[in-house]
Amino acid sequence: MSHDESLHPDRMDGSRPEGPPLGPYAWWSHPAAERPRIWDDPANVRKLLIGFYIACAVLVLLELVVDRHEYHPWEAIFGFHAWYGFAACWMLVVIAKQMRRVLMRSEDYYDVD
Amino acid sequence: MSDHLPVLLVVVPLIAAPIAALIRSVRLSWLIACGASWWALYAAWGLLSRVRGGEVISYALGGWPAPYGIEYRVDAVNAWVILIVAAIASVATPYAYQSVRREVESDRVSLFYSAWILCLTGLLGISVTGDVFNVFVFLEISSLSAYALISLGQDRRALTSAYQYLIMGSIGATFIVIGIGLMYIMTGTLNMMDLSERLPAVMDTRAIPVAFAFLTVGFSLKLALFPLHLWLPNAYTFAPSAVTAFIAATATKVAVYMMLRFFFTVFGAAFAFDVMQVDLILLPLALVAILSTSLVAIHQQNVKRLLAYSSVAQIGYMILGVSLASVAGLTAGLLHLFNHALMKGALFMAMGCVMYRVGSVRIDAMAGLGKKMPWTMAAFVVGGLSIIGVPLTVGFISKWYLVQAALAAGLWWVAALVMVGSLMAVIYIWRVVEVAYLSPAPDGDGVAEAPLAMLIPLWVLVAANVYFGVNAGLTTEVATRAAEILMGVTS
Amino acid sequence: MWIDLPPFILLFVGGVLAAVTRGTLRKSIMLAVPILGGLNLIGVEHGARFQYEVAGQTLTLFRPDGLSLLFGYLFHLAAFIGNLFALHLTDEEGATLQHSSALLYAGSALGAVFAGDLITMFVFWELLAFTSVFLIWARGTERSYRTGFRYLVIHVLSGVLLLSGAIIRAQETGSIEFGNIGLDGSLGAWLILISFGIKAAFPLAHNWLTDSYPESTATGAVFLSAFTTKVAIYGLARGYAGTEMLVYIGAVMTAFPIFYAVIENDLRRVLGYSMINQIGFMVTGIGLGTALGVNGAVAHAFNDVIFKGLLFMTMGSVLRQTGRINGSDLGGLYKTMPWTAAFCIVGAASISAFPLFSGFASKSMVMAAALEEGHSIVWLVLLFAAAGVFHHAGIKIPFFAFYGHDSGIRTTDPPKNMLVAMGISAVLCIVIGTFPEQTLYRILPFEGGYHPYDVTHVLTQTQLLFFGALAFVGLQKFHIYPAELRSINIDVEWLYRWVAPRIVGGVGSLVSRIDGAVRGTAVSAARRVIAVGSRDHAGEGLLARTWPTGSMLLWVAILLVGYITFYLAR
Repeated sequence: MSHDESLHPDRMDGSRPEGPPLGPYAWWSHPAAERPRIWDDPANVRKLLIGFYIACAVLVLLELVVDRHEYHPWEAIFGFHAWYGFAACWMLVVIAKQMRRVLMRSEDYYDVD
Repeated sequence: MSDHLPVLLVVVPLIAAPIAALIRSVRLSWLIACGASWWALYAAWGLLSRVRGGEVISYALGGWPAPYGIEYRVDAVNAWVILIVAAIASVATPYAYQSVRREVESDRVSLFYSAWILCLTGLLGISVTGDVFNVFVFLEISSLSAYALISLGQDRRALTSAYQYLIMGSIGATFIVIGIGLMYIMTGTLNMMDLSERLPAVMDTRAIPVAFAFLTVGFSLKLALFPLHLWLPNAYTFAPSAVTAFIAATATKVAVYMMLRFFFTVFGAAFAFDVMQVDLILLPLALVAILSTSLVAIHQQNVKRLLAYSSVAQIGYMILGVSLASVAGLTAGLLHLFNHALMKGALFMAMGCVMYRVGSVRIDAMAGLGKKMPWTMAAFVVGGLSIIGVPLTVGFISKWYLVQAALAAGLWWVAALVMVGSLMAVIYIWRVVEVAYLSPAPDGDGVAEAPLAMLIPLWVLVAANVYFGVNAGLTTEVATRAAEILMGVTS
Repeated sequence: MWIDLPPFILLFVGGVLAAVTRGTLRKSIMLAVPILGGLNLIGVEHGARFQYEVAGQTLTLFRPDGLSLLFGYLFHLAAFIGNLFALHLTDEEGATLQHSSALLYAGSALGAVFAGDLITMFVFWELLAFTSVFLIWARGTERSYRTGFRYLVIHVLSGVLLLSGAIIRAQETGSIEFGNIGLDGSLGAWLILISFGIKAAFPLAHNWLTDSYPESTATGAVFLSAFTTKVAIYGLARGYAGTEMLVYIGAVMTAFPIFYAVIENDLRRVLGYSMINQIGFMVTGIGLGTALGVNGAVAHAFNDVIFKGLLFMTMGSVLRQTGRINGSDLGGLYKTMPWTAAFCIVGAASISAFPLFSGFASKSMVMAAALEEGHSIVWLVLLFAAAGVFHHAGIKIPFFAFYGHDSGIRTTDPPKNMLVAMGISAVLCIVIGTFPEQTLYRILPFEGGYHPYDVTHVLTQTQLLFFGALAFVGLQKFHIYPAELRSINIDVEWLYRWVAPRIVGGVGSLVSRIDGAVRGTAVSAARRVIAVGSRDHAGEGLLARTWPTGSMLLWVAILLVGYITFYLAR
């Protein structure tokens, strides 16, 4: 995922991590370092995401097939847990981001008198 | 011989004192002092075991029966105080040997021990006698010798401190003798039991409340009750270390005893607390003492001075217990009398060890001592925990009973303030511990652990702090018995 | 059971031995002590013993029963895993101090849960603070030193409250035995609850946790996360089960920290916030008070020690290997720390309560108990929190540390002992999560079967989590997700770390100025009244200075006049 720019707003300039220029056989001399890794390839990330979307869809559609027990009346709503989980997380992040306006301080906030 | 124990308790040290002064040998006069204090401990234990059950020993001095002669009268209350004084003396005297050699000029040492024994004599005498004028006489003996002991400190400010103590102490003693005189004029007797019988007849006169006022102020001065404590910090700070340990653990305790004896036995709890309502004055003063002087202690740079202010706060706890005027409150006060002697004795002795090796007891001089003097500082930590009132130490027992007594009296806010006092103790003890254990030691000053002759007495007290903190059976039993006698409750 | 002995003793002995031994011998002690102690607890007889009479009260040092034993096993397990994780420490890293205090700390926790009375509990309660603070101070930074102090002050305060409550209860009931207390409106019960609440990081009292844990050593945080709060949970379960207020306190605890966790940069502080969130589930379960609720609470405590310990271990490994722990500095570590990354994902899946992972087996019990008791709103909050915890602890932690943008840091997996410790925890997470009825449920204190693996539970939980993840993906795609920034966020601690010092400073200087003026006037007046004797004494300090003899005399005079007036006025 590391070079999938779409996921990283703070690396929009496409810069590469600092380090010496690496030749085609660098993975041999730097075995642990710059050998191409699975999430370096955006295609792999894409595949992962597509698989994930399918899984989400299947999970909701399963409700049509499976006889789901309802412990609470609201659970009768179709896909209740799915949309609740989605909405909860979306709200969580949006609200938390707004909280930064009030709460955020510099790292040495408490250190300076 | 055991019949004559009350008088022998005082006479043996009284004879020992001049002998110690005449023999100009340091070691011999020290040995005499040890002998005198150990004798006192033996006699004190003998007395206490006889009166534990509630019996009262009355001893007529020279065979002259009271009220014509002087009566020595021992019950659980003063046997308890005598035991405290004698026990501390028996630990502090062996401790003094090394410490005094370092801190007092050698040609004065035998005089030092003479004054030391005299001071002990005075304290024991105050406690054992049943005659109010005799109280005054012994008070002067103990005070004068204490001034002398304090003035022997290395610092030249010791002299001015002793002088100041002399003035304040004399004023206190004068007030006490004025009070005694007024009572004698009104009743014609000096015997305590006699006074307690005759006083009710003259209670309505002006003279008796005035006598009561003089006595209250006199005692408050002697026991260093806020705001009359101002002589105490300097006296404790600049006195030789052994003297501080001895006096801090005993002198104010005996003064508290005097106050109890006069208020409860001579005047009677009903007069002192119901008519005079002395608790209305003592309770706030005690609370202010606890909070204000603890606060001052937090700001001290000299640890002996810090402990001195803490002593004033601790006296506040005792007076707080007394001012509750209940068996529970008195029990707490009397327990703290004993327990505070143990903890303050240990703390001041630890500081004596530091003084011996480092030559200073300022907080910054403690840096790294946790490593260099592990036994001394460990003793300080245990003593400090005890002052704070941590469970398994005697301090906890005191606080427990005090808080219980305050709650039983419905004064929950007083209980809360006692807790606040404990928290403040955490701060001032921690300041020392922090420097001793967390600050790096200055290199190469060659500071080593204190000599064994000082460490052993110190650790005897530390062990007592823990032992009586875990097994409080004996102390609470005697303190409760004494409190019942004072309140006139028979169980 | 070989020897009938309060378990803390073995751990304390181990703690002392760890201080005086070195090398292989010490390593063996570190591992053997928790193992032997744990084995010794198997099959232990229930019932109070080791009782001592002190000052008319009975102190009970050892009271094994269903509830305390569960925590007893758990703490031995946690001590073993933590010790294994910390085994490589060198003397430069303060090995002696950390090893010794870790064992003493674990021993204090055991002492507290097996204590049968409030006073013994109090003693261990304070020991917990005093032994654990060294795991913070061992970090050796100025910041950790100061944090450690704040930590100590708050925990000592909690202890003082516990002691006060115990005394008041002793006064009211005549006994210091620690059983069910409940809120009966008495001051003692409230004080004890507040004391427990502080240690359990109740809202507004939670900040010590997020303040101190991130400042501890890489290995110390593993111990810290295991013991202190769990002892508080034990105390609440024992004393306050069924106290309705706890249901709502717990619900608030699950919800509010996750907002902070989303915007927090220090990944160990994120774990701190998520810890409060997990404790919230436990507090809610205890507040519900049903067998299912309390079982769920303690089961979740058990699992939380393991998976939160695992997450703290992975973050500790990252800290040790890279020297960094801020999300803004990390990323892409999966390339060079593959094992750590894998273990982190197992921990993340467990805390998020994925089916087949341990969190699922216990969190669902609390949620089910909330529904059974008809707390709809609380249930919705818990559901929200369950989704939220996945968001910040389940995704954020592994994503920003091991994936995300490549920080360019190249390192290796940590030493073997750390990997093995993480591996054991990871295996436990999966085994307990997959076979809860054969493992964890057997040692739960209350009767009552619960079957987590039915279609409904698995499906709804998976939906919840997957769509929470979908939200994360969406937020990243649309660049809404807040970037990790080098910053801190103010919390309740702002009051005592920023406001209070300024108020105290202001008031202090004002007071000292007024005080100085008043006293100056009074003293100079006293001087003039009694000029003789005070002439030679120059005024120096204020409150604590050596007073001139004349001023002392003035006090004597004032008091004497006061007393006489007072007495004659009678």
